[in-house]
Order: sequence, then structure tokens, then C-alpha cells
Amino acid sequence: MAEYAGLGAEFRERYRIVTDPAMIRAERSVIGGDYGASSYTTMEQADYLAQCLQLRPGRLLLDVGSGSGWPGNYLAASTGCNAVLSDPTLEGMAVAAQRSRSDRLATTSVVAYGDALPFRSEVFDAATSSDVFC
Amino acid sequence: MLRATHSVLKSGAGNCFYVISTKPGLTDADRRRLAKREGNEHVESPVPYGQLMRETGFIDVEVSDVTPDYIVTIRAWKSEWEADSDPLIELFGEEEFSRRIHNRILDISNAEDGLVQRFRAFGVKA
Repeated sequence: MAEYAGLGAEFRERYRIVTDPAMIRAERSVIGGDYGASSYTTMEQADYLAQCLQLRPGRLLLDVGSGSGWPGNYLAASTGCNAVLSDPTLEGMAVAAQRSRSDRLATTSVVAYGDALPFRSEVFDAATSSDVFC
Repeated sequence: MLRATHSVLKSGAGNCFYVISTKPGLTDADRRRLAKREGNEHVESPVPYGQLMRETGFIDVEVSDVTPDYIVTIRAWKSEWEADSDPLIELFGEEEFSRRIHNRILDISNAEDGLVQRFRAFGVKA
């Protein structure tokens, strides 16, 4: 918790406002989606990830530093894969989890740092991240 | 993070990601220039990402420079925010909105001048 508290107010604030209509309008125009993107990965680049990682039903993806669920939730929606989204911000993962519930996606959101992933070894079929710091 | 990701991947699994990284061999002047941007969205990597991935244990590594697309996306964000500024200023406040626009301007300049680059990297866990 001490580490989380020191993460940065800017990031926590960023994910608190990503669902604001003005933010969503901008994201739809720039990125092509409305998942609360906080990276520079466009829809076209996310589709490249899906192809490159051979995502499809039955495969399990890890999206590290997913922020508020982009592109992990989109990749699950567009390919049918299962996905675990991880990010150190509770606010971001709450937004991601809400979208997962509303869209009935096979994704799970986990609050975790990218250099201390709380998963067993050799679990995931693919991994991705977009503009993460570490 | 690469090591942690490598650990949780199955053998033969792919890792494909985007990263914004500083150019190798930053000078003190470069760092001062980058520090003008409030907050940062890049990592400072002492070695190229392809080398980092191989050293972590990934094979079939491919790294592509996608900086031109990155610059286009930053410009698009700036344009969209400026075009729809009223509700965003109401959301952030005038000062914060201006700060964020200024950061976009710095990001474009830093990328155009080669101080930061955006890469797509791919590798397979052996």
C-alpha cells in the first residue's frame, strides 16, 4: 500500500476521469475506441497485437500496465481470448472491471506492479503492454 | 518488468508490446530538455530494447520503430483537445488543461528531434 500511495496522483486522477464524455469523444477520434486509453496505442496497432500474438478463444493474454483496460479489454472483445489486466492503480483497474462486466468480457483486473506480477510461472499464452514505464 | 513477464509466459508464448524510450547515450543537456515536460511517459533504457529482450531470454526478437505514428497520434490528441476545449477545461481547470497541451507540444518536439522514440517489440519465450 505504501508503494501504491507513492505511485503518483496524476495517474490515479487520470483513470478517475477517463469515462468523462469529453475524454471519450477525444479517444474515439484519436484512438478509435472508448476504453479509456492512456497509451498511444491506436485501434490499428491493437489489432496488430491481436494478429501478432495469435489471440483467439481459449488463449490467455496478460496485459501489463493496462491502465483502465486498454487494450486488454478490447483484445478480449475483438478476439474472444481470455485476459488478465494488471495495473498498479486501483482506479484504473476499477474502470477496467466495470467495462468487463458491462461488456461481459472474459477479463479479470488485478492491481499489481509490472515488476512484481502475482501470478504463477508459465501461465499465460501471450503478453502485451503499451507505453509502460518499467 | 521484462523478466517478470518472461516468467509468467508459457514456453513458446509471445510478448508484443509498445514502449516509449529515450535515445541511447543521453547527454546532460538532453536530460534537462526532457525534464521540462511535467511527468514523463518514457523509459530511459541504457541498451536497445532488442538487446534487453534477448538478455531476458526472449528469442525471435523483432523491434520496429513506430515513432512517426506516435507523433501523428500526439498531434491528434492535441488537436482534439483544442477543438473540444470547453468541456475539458471545465473538467481539468484552465491551468491543468494548458499544462497538458504544453506537454503534448514538448512530446512532439522531443520525438521529432529524436530524444524519444516509440518502438514495437516482439519476442518469444524459449
